[in-house]
Amino acid sequence: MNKLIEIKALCKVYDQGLIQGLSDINLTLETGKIYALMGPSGCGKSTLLNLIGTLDTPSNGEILYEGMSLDKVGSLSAFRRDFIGFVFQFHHLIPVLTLRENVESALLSNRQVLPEQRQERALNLLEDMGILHRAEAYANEISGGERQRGAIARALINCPKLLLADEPTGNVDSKTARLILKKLKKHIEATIGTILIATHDPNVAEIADVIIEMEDGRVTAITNKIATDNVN
Amino acid sequence: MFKIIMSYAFRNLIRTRLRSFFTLFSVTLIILLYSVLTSVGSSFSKQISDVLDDQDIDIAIQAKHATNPGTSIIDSKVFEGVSTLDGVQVVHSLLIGRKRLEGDKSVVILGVSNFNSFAQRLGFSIVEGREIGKAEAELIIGEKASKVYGFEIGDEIEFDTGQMYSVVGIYSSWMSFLNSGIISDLGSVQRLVARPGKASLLFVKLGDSTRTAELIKKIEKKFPDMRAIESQQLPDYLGPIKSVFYFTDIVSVMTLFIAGAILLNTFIMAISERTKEIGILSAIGWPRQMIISVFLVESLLLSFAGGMLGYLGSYIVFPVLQTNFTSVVTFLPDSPTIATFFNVLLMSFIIGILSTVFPALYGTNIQIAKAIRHE
Repeated sequence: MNKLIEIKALCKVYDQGLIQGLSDINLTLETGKIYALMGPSGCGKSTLLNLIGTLDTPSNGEILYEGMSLDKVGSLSAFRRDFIGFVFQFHHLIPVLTLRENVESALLSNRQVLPEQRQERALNLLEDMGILHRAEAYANEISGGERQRGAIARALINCPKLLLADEPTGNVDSKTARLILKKLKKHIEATIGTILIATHDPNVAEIADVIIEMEDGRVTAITNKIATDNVN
Repeated sequence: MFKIIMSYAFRNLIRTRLRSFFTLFSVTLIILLYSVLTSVGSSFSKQISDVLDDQDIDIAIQAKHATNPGTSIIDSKVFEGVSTLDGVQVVHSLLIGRKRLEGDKSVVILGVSNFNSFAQRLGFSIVEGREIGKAEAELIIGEKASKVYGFEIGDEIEFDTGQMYSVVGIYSSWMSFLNSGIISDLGSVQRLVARPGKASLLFVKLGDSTRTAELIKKIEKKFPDMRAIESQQLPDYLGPIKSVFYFTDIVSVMTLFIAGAILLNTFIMAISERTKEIGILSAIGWPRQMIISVFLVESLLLSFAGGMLGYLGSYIVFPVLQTNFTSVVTFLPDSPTIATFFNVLLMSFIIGILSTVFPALYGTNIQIAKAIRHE
């Protein structure tokens, strides 16, 4: 398997070093795998996702994307659009846009995709998520599960190589949670992408290929479903 | 992309409809005020120019040292010298002075060489009595002065020099300071203010208007202490008229600031409330300029809508003013000018851009992870 992400000695501190968010994280994420990032609240899961997703900057260390440093990336926004998909714990759909427009919005700045193609992709994804009939509804007109499926469709529309999901099943019922995980797994199989899911949900651990356990800003264990290694 | 951004911006305005409505309402009122005042200002200037045109006046002369006509003193030698210049057909004089009445009271007094055709056109109207005639020692008094000093038609006014003048009429002018004044014939005023043979302004009519530039040079060469200008430029030199222009400029700048401040306030609030949304859009790959463009579109929608409503509103306001404020009707246009329309468009654009760019730049400069956590 190819290395998609390499994390080297990653640290994140807050309040001028008073709070240690992450310390000395070394990780490799390979293509085509699902990673479950587990640990108690406040252990640094979301911080790690934010750093990998370029939503925040590390205090120390570096992250390589397919062997490339972020310094060599021209436009971070275009990089996020083309390389990464985000699913947040709360759907975070734009309330004044319809579900279809929300899904399309992630491709809006990509001028290589024609509006018709964009719309077609959005509708296909909504159909795949089972919410095509809600395409023209606004976020406040649909259920929580439908919103989260809409948010996943938005994250998948640019066929990202890396999907980062922060507690994607945290606010939905178990049936919807299973459906969401099924869709994510299907996506990984179809696109040979990589998924990193920060979660407390044992169902997520079940579908993951690798479980990364964290505590106090450190990776304490990496469990491969096939072969188990311990690090740190 | 444009379609979604437009619709996104429009729906954001609808989302905060009450705030959008009051912002729109405020911008509309301010632009309405701007349209009315600037139209009155430009109409005032145009009518002064029309008066000069109507009089067939080509050149106006004022003393070079004078900052306004009230401080200008022109000797009769200049009058005579200009009158005898080749190409000059007629020279009219206007004298502006201040005169003390009995006690501590003082009034502005205007001496005009041709009241009927000149002063009347400047918006004076006789509300009682008659105009000044050919007899000496007659005057007409402003409506306000009449009330303040208690003078009525037929009264005799004694000035501090002991000269007695009969009040033959009461006039009204929309310029309040003139309503507190007195108008008489040039000779009488020269005697009253002890400036025999003097004038404040000379108005020159030429036999051939194409020689204006040549005659201006001749006059200034012959009388180096005098400033000769084309009559069309006179409004720029006359103190009270200049004040109207300054007033118009000040109104424009104030309008720009007030409407800008209202929009700025609206968008500081909007951007602050939508910090999380800015974070989400950044996370899904929207470039900063695209996020800013949404706020710009929202702002421009409000400023242009307010501008157009304000401009169109002035079409309703002008007839109302003309019906209810007859004293200013002389200087009121029938409708706002086309120049005002283009000014409104330009102002709407400037206000829309300036009031949003800075809060949007500031709002989108936040760490994305922090923005997403923002409540």
